[in-house]
Amino acid sequence: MTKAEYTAAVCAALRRLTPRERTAVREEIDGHIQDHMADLLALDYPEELAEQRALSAMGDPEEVGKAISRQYSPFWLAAGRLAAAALVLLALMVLTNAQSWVGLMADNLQARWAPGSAVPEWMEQVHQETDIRLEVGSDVLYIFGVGTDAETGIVTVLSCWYDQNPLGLVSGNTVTFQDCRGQVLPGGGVGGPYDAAADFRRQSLSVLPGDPYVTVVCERYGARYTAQVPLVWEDGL
Amino acid sequence: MKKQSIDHAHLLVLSLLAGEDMYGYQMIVELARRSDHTFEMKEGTLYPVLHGLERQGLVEAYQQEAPTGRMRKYYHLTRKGGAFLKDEAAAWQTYAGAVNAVLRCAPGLL
Amino acid sequence: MKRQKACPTRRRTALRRWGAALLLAAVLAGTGMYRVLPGQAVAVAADRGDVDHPRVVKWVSDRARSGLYSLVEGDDALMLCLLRFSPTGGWYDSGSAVVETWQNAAVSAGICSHNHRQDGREVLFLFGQVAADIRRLELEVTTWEEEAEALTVRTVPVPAEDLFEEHGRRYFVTELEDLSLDNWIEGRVLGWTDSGQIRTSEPLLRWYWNT
Repeated sequence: MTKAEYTAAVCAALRRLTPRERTAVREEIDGHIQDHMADLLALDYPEELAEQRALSAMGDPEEVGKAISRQYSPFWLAAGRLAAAALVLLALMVLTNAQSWVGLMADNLQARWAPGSAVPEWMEQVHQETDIRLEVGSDVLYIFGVGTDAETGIVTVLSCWYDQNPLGLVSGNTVTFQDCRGQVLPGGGVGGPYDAAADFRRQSLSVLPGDPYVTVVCERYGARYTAQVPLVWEDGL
Repeated sequence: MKKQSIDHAHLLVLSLLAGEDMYGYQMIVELARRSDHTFEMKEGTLYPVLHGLERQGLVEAYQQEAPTGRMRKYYHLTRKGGAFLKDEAAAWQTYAGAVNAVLRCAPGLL
Repeated sequence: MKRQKACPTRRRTALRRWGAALLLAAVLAGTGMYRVLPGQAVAVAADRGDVDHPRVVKWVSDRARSGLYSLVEGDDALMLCLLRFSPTGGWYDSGSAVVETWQNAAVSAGICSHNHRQDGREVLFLFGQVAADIRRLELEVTTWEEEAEALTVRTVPVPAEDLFEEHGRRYFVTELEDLSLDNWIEGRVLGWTDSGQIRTSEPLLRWYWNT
């Protein structure tokens, strides 16, 4: 029997082991035989005799293989494989759910910090960037842009809603406007990008050219939230 | 002297590792040396013992580069293994002591 | 230092993996990315429906078992919300109805309806909050009957077991049968007190969901 045949015979008896474990055992047994042979060669044994001595000292390969195989627990192998499957499943779940999560937060932060970037085509009508924020319940109404047309008296107001919690959802509260005389201005609004995280609106209001401000009003559960939106007119009005 | 059969292979392996980490062949050589060749087991049967001890958590294994360049599997006695060894060694001492005590009483033996 | 590499046993590998899996599961459940408990979905629905400090008052199921309904009380509003379970994300809200209660009216009520396209079923729930002295409730519905080409007014009593008390407040949740929002014109809830007085709710707001 050669060294290679011996190791192969041991491995053949390793029933319960995975290919990786089997390789590890083969390398260990092989290494052992080599170490023994090295010692014998150092004592001037001829190579073939050294191999025979080393192999006979090892014992019956099939018995060795069987005995090693018995030490490997099928229970823990199954548990390990089940855990691997669970990990893959959980990782997939994290990936799919994190996507929408991150998307929500991104929309919320964009509305909060750079709303103009979400509605670039609207921003063209606006020549006054404002920062008026109204806290209504768990949400914030952010008026971020105002445009005025001195000829028609049309005022364009850009606003967005976002939740105070970056992972929260907006609730869709209604907003009305009044002119500086307290008259309610009919709503003429256009909805913009909306999803659960941020709600954009563009409102067109008809006022007298030169009016100093409009008031935004939001009513919620019996409470009234207001803020003044100053108007800037060109041509020194 | 007649060669004794190994009934307490686990105990012997653990006590070898109590001193230092060793690899398989090294253990065979050490065992023969320390016991003055009284214990010379079939070398292949060392590995089931080692893997069994590993499974029980009494030893743990790691790979380390040998001077020859290939990777060798070394075994290390864990704390659990050390405690187990201590208990088993004490049990053995009690047993051996009791046997000696009985033999001493028989005339002409010791 | 000579190169070293660990050789973990099957047990150690399995335990490590299970530890990682448990950690991942905790992250999923704890952050709300996966809503293990229906209460987590309720919190999301309450946020969307503008219900502050939500608290589940009752869990109800409809007769056809399309999902779990939760009656949720907030600071200024009452919400009825249908929750369903999806293996990929956990519990989610499938449409809710919100009734404002900050006016502390004697009877506040609303309609929550779901049209399950798959089965063609329409599930209608009437829910709300009543004052302490209300003993009996009735729904008064005005519908448009096609065939008769006339407005018909019907009254549907609310079963006594659907009116209950929780934490010192009185609520009602009842599934309406043989009623559809298709020809519904207007609805009100009438409440009778012990002394025989009648209190009426505002015209009912109807929340309609296609699922």
